[in-house]
Amino acid sequence: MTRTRAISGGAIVALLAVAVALPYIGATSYVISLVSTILIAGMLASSLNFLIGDAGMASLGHGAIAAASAYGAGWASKQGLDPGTQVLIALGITLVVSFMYGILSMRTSGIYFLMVTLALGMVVYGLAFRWSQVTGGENGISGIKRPEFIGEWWTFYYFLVGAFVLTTALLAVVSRSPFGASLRGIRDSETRMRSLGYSVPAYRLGAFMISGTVAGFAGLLSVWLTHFVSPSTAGVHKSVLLIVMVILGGVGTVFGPLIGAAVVVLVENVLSNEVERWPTVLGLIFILVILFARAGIVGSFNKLIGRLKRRATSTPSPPAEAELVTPSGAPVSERNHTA
Amino acid sequence: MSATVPGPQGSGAGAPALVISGLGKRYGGVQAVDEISLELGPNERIGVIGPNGAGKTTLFKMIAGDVAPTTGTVELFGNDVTRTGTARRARMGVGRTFQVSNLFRDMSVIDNVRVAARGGSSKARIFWWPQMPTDDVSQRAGEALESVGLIDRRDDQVSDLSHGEQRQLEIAMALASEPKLLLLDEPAAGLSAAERTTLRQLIEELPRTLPILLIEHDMTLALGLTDRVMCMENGRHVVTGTPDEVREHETVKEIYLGRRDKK
Ligand SMILES: Nc1ncnc2c1ncn2[C@@H]1O[C@H](COP(=O)(O)OP(=O)(O)O)[C@@H](O)[C@H]1O
Ligand SMILES: [Mg+2]
Repeated sequence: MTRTRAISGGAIVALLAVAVALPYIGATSYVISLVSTILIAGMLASSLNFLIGDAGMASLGHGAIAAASAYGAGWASKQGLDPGTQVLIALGITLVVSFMYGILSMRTSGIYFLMVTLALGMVVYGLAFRWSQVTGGENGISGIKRPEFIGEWWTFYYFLVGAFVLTTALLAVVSRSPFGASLRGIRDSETRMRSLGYSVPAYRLGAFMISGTVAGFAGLLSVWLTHFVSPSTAGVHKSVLLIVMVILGGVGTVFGPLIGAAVVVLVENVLSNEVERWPTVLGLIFILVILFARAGIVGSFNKLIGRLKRRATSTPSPPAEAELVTPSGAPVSERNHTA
Repeated sequence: MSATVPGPQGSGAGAPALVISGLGKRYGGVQAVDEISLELGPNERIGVIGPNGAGKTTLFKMIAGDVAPTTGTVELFGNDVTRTGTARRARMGVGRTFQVSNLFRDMSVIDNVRVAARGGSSKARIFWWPQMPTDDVSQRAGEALESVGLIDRRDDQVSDLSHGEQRQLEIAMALASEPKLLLLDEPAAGLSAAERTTLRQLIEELPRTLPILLIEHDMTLALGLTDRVMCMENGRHVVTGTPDEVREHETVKEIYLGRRDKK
């Protein structure tokens, strides 16, 4: 326990130190923008990871929630509204869209949930395309400004790092809360939860609102990073890539989504300069992970640590203590948050 | 009819916990449950026996709210709940176990019971603060585990429990929700003789003020633990009476000792 804690704690500090140090060690603006993209994608993937890992709800339209928020901010910016209003509009749209998703999907699960969220994502995409007076149609909206206080590239970068740490911590708290435990109960057995007195749809709606809010926040940040939003941000492929990130990194782990996002963003941006068909490369990586590290990169790493730790504790300790650990093997489930 | 047979513990100590009248369920061509009526007094324990396919589980599901009846009504603590959903009935005080263990497999034993102990109360909606290992919910969960003898396994994953332990956890979860009416669906299913004895003691030691409806295929267990017994066959009522009356009943003898499957 303590050693796993120490390892994940160390990893967090190291990652944070690197993120903070980047501008000082002379990272080029290209590197900074790449890391920024990873942070935003990681935040978005984290919001989906919460929904999949804790509530067992794999949304196929999550990218569109971020896109709707981005469009809200973009439209507000184009109307010349001040940044505060811009944020409020993005937040309002996020809440409304998340609520629509939640209300329409809360009585479904499995494949039906997938279909409902997919359809809703396509509605957002369709609106982005067709409602051109507001969305700019195919061309989207460009020249979107971010607030003054994070106008500089480095202030915005640190703002992003802070926002990522904050949302990750918030999601981790929710996941460890009684509400998080209730969601895992629903994930594992809806019938049992009902017979215990839980109004399952209300909990699903709550989970969607929390996840959607984080996704919308990520959408706002992305529009502040790129100053641009177009229908492709709401496309189904974006939502699929989010699921790929979550699975690559490890469903239900705290840092899996970030690692998954890093792999996807790096393959998409760096490799695409060298290799023509980057989706093929990504597909290959995905297949390898599924075949050899089913719990994802972070999830499998946690499992490995857990196994090493158990071997270390069970051999030298006296039989009484060893018995506590060995008979069941007490494996750390990949879905229980460990790192 | 059966409602007029008072249990040994006597009625009159308040409203009955459960009244079902003319309850029936039809699945296509199968009449799974046919016109069953029963009254469970506030301190009473009733057993429901019958061969496989008799309709016991279906009857249970209609009482718990999982299945809508095609005929008849269900009353809990004096309220008609025929159209009330499962979660609401649970919050009214119905606790139940499942014939096939229905647990949160990817959670620890104690977390299973914690979720049960919170029920659908506002405590289960707290999302801004981690689960506390020392709060009243955890304490109640620990007590429930203690009472079924699972406290040593509190931090293990459910998937690591033996079948018998999973059956015990089923009961611990029902108890942790502090029910006012306990429905047990074949709690002894698949248990060894030793485990059956433990289970029997556990049920015997439950407070007498907790009304229990116990489905049990095993006649000895059902008759030994209850004040009254109802026997069903093919969805229909066969007899309701004291354990002795039911044991001596001709049709019951025929069902359990005669032509069909004995166990
Ligand atoms: N969901 C269902 N759909 C169709 N038939 C069912 C269903 N559930 C139970 N039955 C039928 O109803 C009858 C009673 O089943 P059940 O209540 O499970 O009996 P018991 O618990 O006494 O073994 C059986 O014939 C069974 O096949
Ligand atoms: Mg049954």
